[in-house]
Amino acid sequence: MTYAKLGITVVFATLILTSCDNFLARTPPSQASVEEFYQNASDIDAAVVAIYGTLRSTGLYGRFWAYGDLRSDIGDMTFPGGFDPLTNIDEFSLTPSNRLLNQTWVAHYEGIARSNTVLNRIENAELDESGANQFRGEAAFLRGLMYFNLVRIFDRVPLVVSEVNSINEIESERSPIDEIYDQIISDLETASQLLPEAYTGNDLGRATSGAASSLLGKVYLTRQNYPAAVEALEDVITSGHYRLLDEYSDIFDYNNPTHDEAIFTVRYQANGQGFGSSYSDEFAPRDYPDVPGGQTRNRPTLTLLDAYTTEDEERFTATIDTQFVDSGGNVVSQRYNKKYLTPNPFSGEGHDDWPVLRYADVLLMYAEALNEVGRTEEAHAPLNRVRDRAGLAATSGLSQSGFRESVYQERMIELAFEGHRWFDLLRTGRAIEVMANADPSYNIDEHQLIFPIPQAQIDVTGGALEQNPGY
Amino acid sequence: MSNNLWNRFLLVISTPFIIACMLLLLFPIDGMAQQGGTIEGVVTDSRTGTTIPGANVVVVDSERGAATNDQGEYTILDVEPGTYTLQASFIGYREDNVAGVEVQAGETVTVDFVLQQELGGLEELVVVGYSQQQRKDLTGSISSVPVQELEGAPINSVDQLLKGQVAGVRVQEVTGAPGGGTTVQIRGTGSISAGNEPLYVIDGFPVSPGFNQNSNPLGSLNPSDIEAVDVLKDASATAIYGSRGSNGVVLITTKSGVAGATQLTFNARYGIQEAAHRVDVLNAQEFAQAVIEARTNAFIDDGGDPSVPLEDRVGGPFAIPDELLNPSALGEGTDWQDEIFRASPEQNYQLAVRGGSESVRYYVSGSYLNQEGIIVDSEFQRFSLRSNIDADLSERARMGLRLSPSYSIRNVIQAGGNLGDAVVRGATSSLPIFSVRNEDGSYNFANSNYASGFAPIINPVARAREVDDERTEMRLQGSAFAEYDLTDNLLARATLGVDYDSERSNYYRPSTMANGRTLPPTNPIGTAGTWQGVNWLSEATLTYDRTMGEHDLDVVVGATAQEETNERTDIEATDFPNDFVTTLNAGQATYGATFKTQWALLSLLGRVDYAYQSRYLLTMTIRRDGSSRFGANNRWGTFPSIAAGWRISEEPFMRSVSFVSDLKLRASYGQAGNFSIPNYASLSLISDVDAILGPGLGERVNGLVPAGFSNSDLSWETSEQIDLGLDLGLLSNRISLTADYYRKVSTDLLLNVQIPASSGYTNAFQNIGQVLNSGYELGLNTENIAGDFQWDTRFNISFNRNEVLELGPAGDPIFGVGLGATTTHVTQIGAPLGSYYGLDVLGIFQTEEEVENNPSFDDSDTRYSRPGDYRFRDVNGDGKITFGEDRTIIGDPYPDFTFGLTNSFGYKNVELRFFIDGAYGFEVFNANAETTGNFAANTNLYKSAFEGRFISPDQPGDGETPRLNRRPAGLNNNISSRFVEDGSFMRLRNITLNYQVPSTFVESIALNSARLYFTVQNAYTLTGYQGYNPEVSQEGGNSLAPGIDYGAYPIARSFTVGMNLGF
Repeated sequence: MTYAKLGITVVFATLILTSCDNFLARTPPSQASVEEFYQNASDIDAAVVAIYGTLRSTGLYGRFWAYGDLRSDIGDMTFPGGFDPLTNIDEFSLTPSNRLLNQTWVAHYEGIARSNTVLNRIENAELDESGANQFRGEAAFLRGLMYFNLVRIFDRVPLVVSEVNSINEIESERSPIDEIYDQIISDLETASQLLPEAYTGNDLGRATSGAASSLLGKVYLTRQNYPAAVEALEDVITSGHYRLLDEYSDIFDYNNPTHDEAIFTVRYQANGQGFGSSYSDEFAPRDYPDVPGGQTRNRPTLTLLDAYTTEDEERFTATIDTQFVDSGGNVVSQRYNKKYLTPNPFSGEGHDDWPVLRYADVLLMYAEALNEVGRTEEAHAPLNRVRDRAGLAATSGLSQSGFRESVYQERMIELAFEGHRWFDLLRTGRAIEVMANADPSYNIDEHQLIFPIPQAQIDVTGGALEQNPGY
Repeated sequence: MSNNLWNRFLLVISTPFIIACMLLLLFPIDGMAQQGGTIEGVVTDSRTGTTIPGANVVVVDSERGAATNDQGEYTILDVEPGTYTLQASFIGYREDNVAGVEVQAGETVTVDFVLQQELGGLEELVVVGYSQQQRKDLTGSISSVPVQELEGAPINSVDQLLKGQVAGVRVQEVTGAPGGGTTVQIRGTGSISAGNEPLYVIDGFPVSPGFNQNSNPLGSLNPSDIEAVDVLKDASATAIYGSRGSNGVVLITTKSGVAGATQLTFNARYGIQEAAHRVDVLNAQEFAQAVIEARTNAFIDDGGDPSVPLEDRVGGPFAIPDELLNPSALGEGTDWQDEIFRASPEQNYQLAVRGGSESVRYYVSGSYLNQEGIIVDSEFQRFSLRSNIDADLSERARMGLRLSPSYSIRNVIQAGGNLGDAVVRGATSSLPIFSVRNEDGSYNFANSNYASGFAPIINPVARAREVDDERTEMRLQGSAFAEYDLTDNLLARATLGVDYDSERSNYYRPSTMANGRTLPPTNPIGTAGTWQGVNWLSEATLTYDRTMGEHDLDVVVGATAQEETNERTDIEATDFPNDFVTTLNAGQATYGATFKTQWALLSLLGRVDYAYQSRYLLTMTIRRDGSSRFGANNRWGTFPSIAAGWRISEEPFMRSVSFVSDLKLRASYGQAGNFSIPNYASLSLISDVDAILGPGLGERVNGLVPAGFSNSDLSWETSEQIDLGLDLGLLSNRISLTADYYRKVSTDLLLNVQIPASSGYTNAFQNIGQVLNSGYELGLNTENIAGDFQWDTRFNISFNRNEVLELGPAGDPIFGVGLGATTTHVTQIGAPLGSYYGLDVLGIFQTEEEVENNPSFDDSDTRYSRPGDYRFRDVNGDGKITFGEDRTIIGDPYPDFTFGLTNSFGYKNVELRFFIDGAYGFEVFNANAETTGNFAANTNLYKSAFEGRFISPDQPGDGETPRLNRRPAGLNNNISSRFVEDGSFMRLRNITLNYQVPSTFVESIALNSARLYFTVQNAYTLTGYQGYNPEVSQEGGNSLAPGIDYGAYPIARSFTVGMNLGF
């Protein structure tokens, strides 16, 4: 029976001598791992596309309106108490544990980390220099955009600009505000130099040098560095790539989001797989036909309704309605925000896109900056281009302070529900006064001009991240 | 191996009595003078009724006796006339004596014996890892489940066999869904995120875990095919399973062939099941009253004038629908529980053949189970086959084959979860004012979009009947082994096994269903999925087994390799043009994906069992495991153990203490691991974050990002355990007791710790954290009355204490999330894993003064506390109640103790058995109270929430229930101890009446044996819990959020008749 003994020995030997490490080293068949990635242009391209993909999330542009519009005097909640994270933002009663705050923090830092990773890994990837420069520019633009949002919402935040690869490398202490703005400006300047002026085909919608300059102008305006703002915005205007559309309502046509007025837009697509936007679902009134989940959030306030003059009909009808016919044929009286009101083919998912930057914004910023540097006379022209498209008479001969009021008013109407209002109030120092005029019950305090740092982040850093005063 | 041990036992260590029997066998009495009488008869098993070949029957005080033949028959010839006592015995059975047998010359007297199996007998063989031992030689804490006793109970899955039978094993029957799983925990919960299920080893094959409420990896196994279930509890027993042993190991051995006459058995049972409990909710009239009161209170809170007539009130939370204005006109309304529950049949048939020659032995069985659920449209069917064949190829070589294909079909209903999709929660929450169907016969979905301020609830009957959700599973477990005796003492064995599992699911929601608030017709949704697992094992062992004088040595060394590959396909479609064709070809596919994942494990193992003078016992084991799941820097782990035993009863000085038949002390120490971390957790993987770019509606462009940090140091979790045990047998083991103390510390726990988001990630896998489980276990078996009337008792009780010792770097608590997104649990140092967390209710504010003088919810808020609202404990002592800061631990999901008690009474052919089990001192998080106990009357309410409510200081109710209020004030509806209910229970789980049909009658109808039985399962439950079942676990094995009841499928009470026939 020696053959049996031999057999047994062979079985043993095979098992013991099987090259253990080969047998145990497994790579996932359904996912790539980082070690195999970031090798070439197509890898880096996919890594950049993912930063754009981040922008759709709730914490980024999915609910940017909660900060830009709901917080301000133009939007409110129809059913207070119905959904606390938003009601508390609207009513200035929010606490650091508000869920949206943490979502916002997390989403922005996810985007920043993805940008940092691209900027780091591109150095060792094999690709030609022009392609590399475009990717560097896109990552820098998007990182600048996210830090700009973060500082406006939370004030000082941890400034992380390199790839983090282990938990020992995490920075969680807040950086000085000037340092963060210097980084934003440097990123946007880099981006405006490296990025192409325009794209074609499926690259349409990626960041352009115009987008970087427009955002840079907005940053300078926020920093009240008006001469620099004028310079940056002039680059956009003279580039010749942008114009105002003829019809105001065409701006929001989801079938054509890459029109000539769009400078940078966060894109959605309702395909039943989580790529749609929730704007129409959240903004539509209840029982609104075609939008089954309508929740009447971010409803136009009476303050906003009053701000429209009777001549401003085109913009009013594109932005607001006060009644609708429900699916049963009943006329329902209800104010609602209709800029993003498109049929929802999939429950909770719409095609509507989010206009981060558009040419009318650039013209109004330019007008504002010119006025602030004392070029009030010249400032009338860009303002009037916006008014003209809206079918309004041109203004003329305004004093510097009169012009200031006029441009503020124009921004409120022209850019309503595009995420600008609250930040405009902040950067022009009018937030407390305007909010008190709109509704004395808001009764806001200085500390409420910035949002609290999310409690979850303070907890997880063991207190290394400090809370904003007053919260 | 087993035969070796067995023979060794018989020849060397047998009692004088057995030696006598052997002598009788060696010197058969035949061919002698025939002047005496003859005694003959049959020896049968008391439970199965099958005959016992090889049993010994002796005439006491004489040298006469005989062994039974293949048919279990014996004949003792030529017995001198006289009156004798006859004794029958067989290993594993209790001796039986028949006195007063009168033998007359030339006559034949018939004496039949019915032997009872002796459970936990000292000589019984116990399967331990990669070996077998007699119970008396065990050094570890190993319990055997009395599988034979449970035959006939309407048990459809092996895990249910463990229920209440073994100290230290907590089995929760968390769902009554046909084919659904249980949760099994051995010696507490030691892991936070790597699972707490034990390792199941079926005929030597470790199967992959994967229990949940709808699925059960043991579900394909037919319990009637099980020969033995042994549970390894302490580290000396589990360490041989290395990186998979820390949660305990359950070894399942299936029946194999025995040489002898072919035994054909046919088992059949039929039962009727019903819901064991109904939840007490309001009828239509009471509900309307509750709505009026809740909305009136909200109206008054808001500053409304109570004199405004009910019908004139306007506004979402205040307006009262017209049809509710006159409650007394509404009557009883619909009892939704009546509509979803039904009396449902369950039937099971099995045919088995067992037998073989000396050289080839077989066990072949086939069975069919059909269990219709107590909820309409739920069902489980299983077809299973088993073929276990063993053959001796030569004197020295043997081989064997285990093959068990099975096929099952489950019709699943969604019991719990979101009210828009839950049948059981839907039934307790649906408004009693609505009918099930409209007048035209279609389903009534009025509750999906009722008036303002009412929750959308799916019609639960329509959800159960109209939505198809079918899962099928084909499973083939098979293994083959070959054994060869290299020398008389050295045995080599090689095994190859495979576990192939293929599951399909098909789901279709027709257009006739409501979807959220949208009424039909809605857009249908269909999904189809497949899941396939191929798990193979190769194993080789060498066993050395030698007795040298007073030294007895057993050594096993081995090497194994195992690999599992899982593949999954998911497809979704919608836009079906009609409901006629429900396969996805009819719709538009919206999603399709396939996934593949693998793990591999290589191991070396060794065990040494040594005994000196059969008194001093020593066991040492070691296993070295390398797993693909561990990080590159930590790929191999070593798991050692050592145990010692001292059989004091074998010491010379104990000889005189005759009432002590067995006394053994045991002590063990060892380490085992938990390798159930995700397959590629140590790697940083790339995942999709696509973007929409391009003109028009845009194109989806692929974007890729790292999903997390890589961690090359990631490794298994380790648990270190000491165990001290005592085994005591008194009065010839009529009383036997096993007691254990253990202390198990699980370290290097795998935690997906939260990290600062400024890293770009919110979580990272780390090996940190420490949990302690320690406790006592006691098992006591007594034979209270012996003789014609028998009374046996088996009792076990376990006490386990669970405490978190260490958590992440800063020791921060981990919050567990139940109810979708709400914090309901906390895991913090010094408390049990997953303690309930929220506000602590002290009582109800009775008066304005009480509100004034006690901490209450913020005065500046419009929903401040008023009389009738909850009074909470001011945990941080700041004089007011703030939800964020006044939360505390409000309950413990783990019982102080669990127990099981079986009493069996036998008289001749009749046996009656009661099995009670229970758990004491734990709480259930009754998440159903989110709606049915929310006092807002936007869904139906518990009767207790209505009858005990506070109305006014003069009508304060039961003092525990707040006022009804549509806009709950004073934080009444936040997570608080009102959700936490005492879950302690005692359940009369099984009553069985057995009748062994007398053999004279059985033989007259050409049968070998026949047993009839009647069983009631879940006969009665004593508990204060108001839900269906206090054994709950909505979140499955998630140890961060245990104990949540969110509408699980209720368990059934069943009445079953059955028969076991032997041919």
